[in-house]
Amino acid sequence: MDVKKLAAIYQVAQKRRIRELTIETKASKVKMVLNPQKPTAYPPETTSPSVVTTDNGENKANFEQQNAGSQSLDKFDIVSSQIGFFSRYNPKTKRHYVKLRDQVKKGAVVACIKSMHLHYEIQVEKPGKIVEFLVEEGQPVEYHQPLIRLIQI
Amino acid sequence: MAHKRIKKILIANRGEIALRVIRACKELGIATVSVYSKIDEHSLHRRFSDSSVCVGEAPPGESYLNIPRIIAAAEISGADAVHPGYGFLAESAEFAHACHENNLIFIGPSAEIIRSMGNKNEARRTMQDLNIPIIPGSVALTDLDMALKEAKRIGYPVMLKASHGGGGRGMRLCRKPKHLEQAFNITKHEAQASFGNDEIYLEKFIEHARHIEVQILADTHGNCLYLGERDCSIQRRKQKLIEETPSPFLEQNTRLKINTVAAEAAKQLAYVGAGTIEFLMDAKKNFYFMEMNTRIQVEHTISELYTGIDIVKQQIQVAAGQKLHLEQEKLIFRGHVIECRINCEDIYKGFTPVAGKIGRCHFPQGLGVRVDTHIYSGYTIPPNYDSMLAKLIVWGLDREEAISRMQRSLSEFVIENIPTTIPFHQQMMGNKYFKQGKFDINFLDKFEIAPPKKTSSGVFS
Repeated sequence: MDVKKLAAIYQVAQKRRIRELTIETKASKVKMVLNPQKPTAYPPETTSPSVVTTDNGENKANFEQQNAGSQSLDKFDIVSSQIGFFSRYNPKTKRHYVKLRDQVKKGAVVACIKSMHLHYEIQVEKPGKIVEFLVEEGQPVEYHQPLIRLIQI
Repeated sequence: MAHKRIKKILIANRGEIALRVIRACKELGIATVSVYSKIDEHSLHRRFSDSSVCVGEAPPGESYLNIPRIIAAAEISGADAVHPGYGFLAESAEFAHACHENNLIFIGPSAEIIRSMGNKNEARRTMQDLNIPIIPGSVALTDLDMALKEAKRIGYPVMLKASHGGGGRGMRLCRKPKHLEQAFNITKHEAQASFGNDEIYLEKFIEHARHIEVQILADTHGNCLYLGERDCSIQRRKQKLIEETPSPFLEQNTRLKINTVAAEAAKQLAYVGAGTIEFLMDAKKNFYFMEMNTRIQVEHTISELYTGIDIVKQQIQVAAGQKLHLEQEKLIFRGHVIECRINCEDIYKGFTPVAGKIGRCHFPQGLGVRVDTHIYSGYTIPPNYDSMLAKLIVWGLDREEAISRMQRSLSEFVIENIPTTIPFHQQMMGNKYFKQGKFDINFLDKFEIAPPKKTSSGVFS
């Protein structure tokens, strides 16, 4: 992948205070961690911004479309209203509530927080398309911690 | 009771007491988890704990007082014990019970004791059963005739009080039967209007009362110690401002009596942990039970300097089922200790609490000086919580030395941009009556605050 292009993305992403982004093309995959989350109770702490690339040669980057321009402004995060363990599984159906790139309506349940043998459902406040899960399955989350990133539709 | 090893403690509090507990844990080699509200993101208790969990928004009901969230924070952090500090959930029987239900050790007494001491009438009855003197009073009054009869039995002066009142409201002082006749209907009417219930009763009015409390420490093996009394008579609207130990009002006999009575009561109650029994003492040194605080108190620090015992560490060890390794006879009470509460209050505007950003700070140092605080240069005081910023505690060989050391320390204490109670304490330390130990709980009603002095340049300029 073109290093110059990467550098340009890196700058744009930093300006917009994007925490983490993954660029996938047919031939390559790039994951950037730019603004690591503030240290919370448990997630492993990343102390400095790091860029991880897995480039296998070909550069057909359509990433600009995804990250540059007005679209990144329309991104929003669903934050936790509870304290507990994050789960993407619906305990009733035993399936994921939602998957990456799913489009969800306002009020849709996208995940749940388990705490003290209770399940708190996490709903979306406005319609969007899921672009990223910010926490892992079973990870402890604190109040107001970003959980899922969406693009407004 | 078997030993339970405590490896990680969640501190369900904020401010200086959260830091105080973290210090004790660190010295004991126990990991700490702090909880914080969004507004406390830059607080020291969050910074100095091993890990932290955000539990909600700034209003206490959504964070520090929210039981399910605190318990959930303990669950996700893997804490095995909870220290409640003082205030917030420290005297919530419901919280102590919730901890127990979730296999967390609550560092404090049982939910039952908290509940029984939290109900004032029940606490009075319990203490009366243990032969602790309580303030003589009547049952609910039905009419004026009954009130007059009861007042005669108790002895004037008496206080006419609303049964469901509180906070110093809904009461009237009656020195003669004539006053009682005049006040009876008015008080009844006011009780109905203010508290929705017109039940009133009589209580003996203690003139020139002093607030004297005894620090207790008890384990699960039946050992109970007293760590001396504290005189907290300098208070404003029931808020303590200056505390000292030993009380300058007591001589050795009364001191021994009040301390042993308190320790014996705690033992009879099968009390566990650190606790305080508060008494009112009249001019003739008769003392009456007021209430029992089933938690660590703000002013525990003076007893620590007086005895050399770390009370918070003892609390934790006792909660783990360990035996107290202290013996009453071997305790050494040494010197004299005074604490001044430094609050962000404007003393020239009726002690109005102030919030905002602090400028630069400097804390006093030197022999016998201790400062417990959560503030730092540039700290922003949130408007949502208590106004106490720091506790300045000094130890001296005797009371005179402690007072002069306090004066010296206050002069070194700098908190820029925010009005504090420091000038008030400076005036108190220079007050003739305070120096002589001649004061009661109404001392501040008559105390006039001198106008502010114009200072030249600050230390930092």
